[in-house]
Amino acid sequence: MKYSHLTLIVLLVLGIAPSVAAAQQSADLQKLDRLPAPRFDIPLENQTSSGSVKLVWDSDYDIDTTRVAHRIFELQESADSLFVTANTRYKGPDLASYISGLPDGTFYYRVREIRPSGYASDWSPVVQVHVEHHSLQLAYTLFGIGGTVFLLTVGVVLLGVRRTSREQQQKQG
Amino acid sequence: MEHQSAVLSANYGWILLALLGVIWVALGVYWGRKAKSMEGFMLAGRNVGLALGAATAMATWVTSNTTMLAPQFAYELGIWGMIAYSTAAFGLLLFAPLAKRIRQLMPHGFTSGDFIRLRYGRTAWYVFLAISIFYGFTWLISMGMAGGILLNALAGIPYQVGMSVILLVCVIYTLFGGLYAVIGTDFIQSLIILIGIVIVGVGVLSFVDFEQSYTHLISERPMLINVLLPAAVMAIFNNLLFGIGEIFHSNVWWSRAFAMRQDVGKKAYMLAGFFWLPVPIAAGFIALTSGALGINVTSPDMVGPLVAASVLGKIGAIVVFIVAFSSLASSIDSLLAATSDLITEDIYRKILNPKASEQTLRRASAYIIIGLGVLAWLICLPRIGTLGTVLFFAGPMVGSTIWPIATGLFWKKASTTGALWGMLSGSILGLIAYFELGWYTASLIGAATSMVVVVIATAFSKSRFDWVKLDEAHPETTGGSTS
Repeated sequence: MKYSHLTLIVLLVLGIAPSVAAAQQSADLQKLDRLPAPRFDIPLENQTSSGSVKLVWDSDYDIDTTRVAHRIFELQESADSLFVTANTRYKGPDLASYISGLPDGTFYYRVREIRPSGYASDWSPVVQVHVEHHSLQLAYTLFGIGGTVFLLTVGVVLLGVRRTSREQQQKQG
Repeated sequence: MEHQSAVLSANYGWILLALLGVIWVALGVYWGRKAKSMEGFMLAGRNVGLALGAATAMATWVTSNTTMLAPQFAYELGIWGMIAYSTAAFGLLLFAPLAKRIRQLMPHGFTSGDFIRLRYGRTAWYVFLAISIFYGFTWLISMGMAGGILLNALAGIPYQVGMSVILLVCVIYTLFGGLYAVIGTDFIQSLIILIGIVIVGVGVLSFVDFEQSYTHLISERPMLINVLLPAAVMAIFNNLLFGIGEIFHSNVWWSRAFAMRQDVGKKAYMLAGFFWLPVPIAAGFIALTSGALGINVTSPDMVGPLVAASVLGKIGAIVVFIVAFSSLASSIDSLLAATSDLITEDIYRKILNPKASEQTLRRASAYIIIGLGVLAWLICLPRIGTLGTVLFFAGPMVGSTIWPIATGLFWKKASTTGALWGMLSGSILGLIAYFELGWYTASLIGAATSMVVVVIATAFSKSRFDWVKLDEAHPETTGGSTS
């Protein structure tokens, strides 16, 4: 009888202690996983004529980084503001992403933070990037001007070299 | 703070930094022992041969601009951006005949400022000095920044610390060795750069799946492979003219032309141009693979080192670290030496203290090198923009000097009015283009405006310059005073 009581106590301790620890860990994780949505550190509306944009974000969530080894952010891009079809442009610990090579159009971006446990924050407010490249007419005009300046510069140097070397030869002759 | 994942551990970074720093300082001090006179310190005794001449020109031109800015061009402007960057080789190739002409006309010359002062007079000289010193400074700042960015990207060393160490190392060995130290270290650095780029290039080529990269570009960054990307079309000649302007006017290149032996300059600059031409294409190409490789880029000037280091692992990151450190050092030292020469000769000796003794000039030169380093450090501390935006801010001014220099060397009719107003109007209109259209148009507008003004002024000019006036006696070479 005495033995069975002892067994019962041991079983209770063995059974309860882990469950208490598990409950504590779970509460801890829940606390950790109540993530505020990250926010972009750039204006919500942006324009570019080069097709490049730098997206910078941050999170107010201040945690002990020794407890949570990795912060993972997911950056999504979409051609519609509701993100019906969205494309993940980046997933990782960085706090910025430089996007280039965008065609004409309007693009929408949002970011969220994901814990290793799988919990995710809400999405950030959406950033809009309107891409309107310079007109090709302007590009061709500047290309033509640049080409002309270059060719004339080459001409000045080469003709100058030819003339001065001829002058030198005449002097020596 | 835009956290960017590092590739090497900070410990590796610190060890490499310490090793490279000690090596460059030791070599600089060793070679600097030759610099007994001011002419030795500033112009390496005017006796630099072909191998050293070509190596120093190539290494100086392979700056942070090539290892970091060429990939940035490709990352932002696509295929045309990559090609646009390589057109900067024309600067070296076109300067080759100018180097010969400069050496013939000015056998006792010291700086590019000497040429403008003797050719166009003091007012144009003041404007030129302002442009040249401003440009030298933006270049120095862009490379100090590049050092900080690079060490941060590769080894997670804080930006401010990495930037400070690179500037400090270069200031120390330039201070002790002058142009002897700069050219000597440049020779070794150019070998390291070439070998390193071949290693990285072969490594990346064997790792990258071309088809996957192309598919990724088509779906995610379609404009980068579009030959009609307007910004890229504009950038082609803008970059070409910026490169020409940089080399035509900067004392970095003039001091080398004065330092090389009579018949060496032309060949050395030609060789350097041909060696340099493929470097930005190799460096730029790898940036286009970043998307397919899943590498996130937080700042476009980091894309090259990041891709190379990520693809090649720890060994690759170490190679990239050494190559980039060498390319940065080879340019920072040249710039410190050439800009301090310009300030010492053109401002201190010609304006402030014409009777300065050689000892006083050496001391002034040392203070100027330290001052330049400290000022660059202060401006680099807050990271003010990407390398491209910082460097190209000087673009309009640099572009506006091309025609005053080229015509000044070959046209007797080229006038002071044309040179002066060419530089001023080109700088102003180019700056307007910088803000209104983008940095990729500023040098082009500056150069075009300056060209039109110079040509018109020359057409109406009645002056006939006597080339003999450029052969100015110098107290260092004649033992007398020129004041």
